[in-house]
Amino acid sequence: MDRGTYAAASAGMLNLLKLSVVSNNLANASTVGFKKQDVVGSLQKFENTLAASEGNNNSYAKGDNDRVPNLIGLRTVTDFSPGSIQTTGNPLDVALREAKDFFVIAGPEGTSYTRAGNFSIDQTGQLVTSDGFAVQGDGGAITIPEGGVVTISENGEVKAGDQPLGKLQVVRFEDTSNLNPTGGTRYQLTGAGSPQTVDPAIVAGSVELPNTSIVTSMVDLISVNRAFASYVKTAQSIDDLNRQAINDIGRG
Amino acid sequence: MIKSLFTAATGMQAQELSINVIANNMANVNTTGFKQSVAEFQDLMYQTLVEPGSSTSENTKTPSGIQVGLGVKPTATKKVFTQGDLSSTGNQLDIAIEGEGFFEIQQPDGTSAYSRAGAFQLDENGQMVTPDGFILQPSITIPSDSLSVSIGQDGVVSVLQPGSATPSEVGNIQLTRFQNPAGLKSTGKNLYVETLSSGSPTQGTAGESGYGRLNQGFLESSNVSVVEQVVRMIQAQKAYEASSKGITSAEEMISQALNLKR
Repeated sequence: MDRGTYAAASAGMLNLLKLSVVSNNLANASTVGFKKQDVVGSLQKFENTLAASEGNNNSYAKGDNDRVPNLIGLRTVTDFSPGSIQTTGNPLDVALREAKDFFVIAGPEGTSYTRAGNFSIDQTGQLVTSDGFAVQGDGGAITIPEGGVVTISENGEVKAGDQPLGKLQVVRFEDTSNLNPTGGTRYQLTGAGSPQTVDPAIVAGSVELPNTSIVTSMVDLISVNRAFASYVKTAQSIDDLNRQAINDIGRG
Repeated sequence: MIKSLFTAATGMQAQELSINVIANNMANVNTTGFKQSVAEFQDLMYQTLVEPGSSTSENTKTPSGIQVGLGVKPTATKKVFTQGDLSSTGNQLDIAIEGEGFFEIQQPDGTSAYSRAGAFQLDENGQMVTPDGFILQPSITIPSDSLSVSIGQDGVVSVLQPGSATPSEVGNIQLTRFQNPAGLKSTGKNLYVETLSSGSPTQGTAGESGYGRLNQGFLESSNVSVVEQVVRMIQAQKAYEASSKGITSAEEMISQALNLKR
């Protein structure tokens, strides 16, 4: 069978992947602290896929030189550009000023990082994320005593009335490429990269909106749609050629 | 393909929840003691198609993998317990709490509920009750021959009776606080009940150690800001529309794929 059919199908599949990513960006268009994802990278030759899956240079990798693109050459990257800041007036809402800064959370998967600063207090008085994981201060979790009016200052100091309770731990990643999303607007470090503890720079009483751009997302949707349509056409054209070859050639 | 359909659908569902919450806030813009809610979201799990760091050849590895998010999930509808404006009513049984705390109200089944709405009335026995007839705790009975009732900032209720020049004390309104008021469960009728995440109630005297002061003759308006709600409504509606485009795109691509075979 013609290889072109498979090439077109693979390219079509890549657009489905892009569609999933764009849909996820759009679905999170109002999720506090969400960072949009992009699909980047170039298509890879099929031989390289084989090489990757087989682990080394074996006979499969050397022979045929099909140019069928595959998923391995592509990757999803999180775009950590800052979102806009919305004032809520809630004393437990905090937004980070610097784009590469993160709050440290004792998440279900261990230490995780988040930009979603819509914190709450749980029944034991701990400062937690909106789904209940403890926010880390310079001395571990921050516990708020009963009866105080809680304020978080611009430099991350949490106070109940005049009583200092600790300082929010904020870390900076110079290289954010190894931060991968785990859901729950949390990120985990997979691979190299060392977070530097920095002095918090915080906008109090505010949250960071997602950096999803509706305009770019719509343009992405259009381009995904059109690209997909053109691959479908390609596959159909090849199908037409094959049909003609089968039906017409040799008819005299 | 199917993935993006569901991903986009979670986005639409989330915005639907958002609109429901906003509509309820707007509907209660004039409800005494009402506190607005905000719907909060998080991104749902990520499906890892290619692990970050998997090898692409003998010597090279992918710097990042392919992780596709599966949409959004609502995590909370958080009550925002900011102070509402106090409006003067002149009614001597109207009480507004300025600061933190709740009135404790006994529900018909005998359990306690908590409220910020201080529009009290008297029932046939002279007890202070909510507009629904639920009794304020600890219960306070105003004698039927009282000429006037005065309620101090600290919750002391005293009445002036005929033939007496000095008011006599008939009870004390106490306030209740919670470690995490946002964790209280709304049950309607301006009432909240205790939950595991609210922590247990602690009682105290109004005006002391963090408890709010009482203001007789005032009611606390709702803390709903119409402008803020309208802005949030626009946001939610546009986000809903955007997610719906994700669905139409997926639908279009599915039909194209189906038409591949003629």
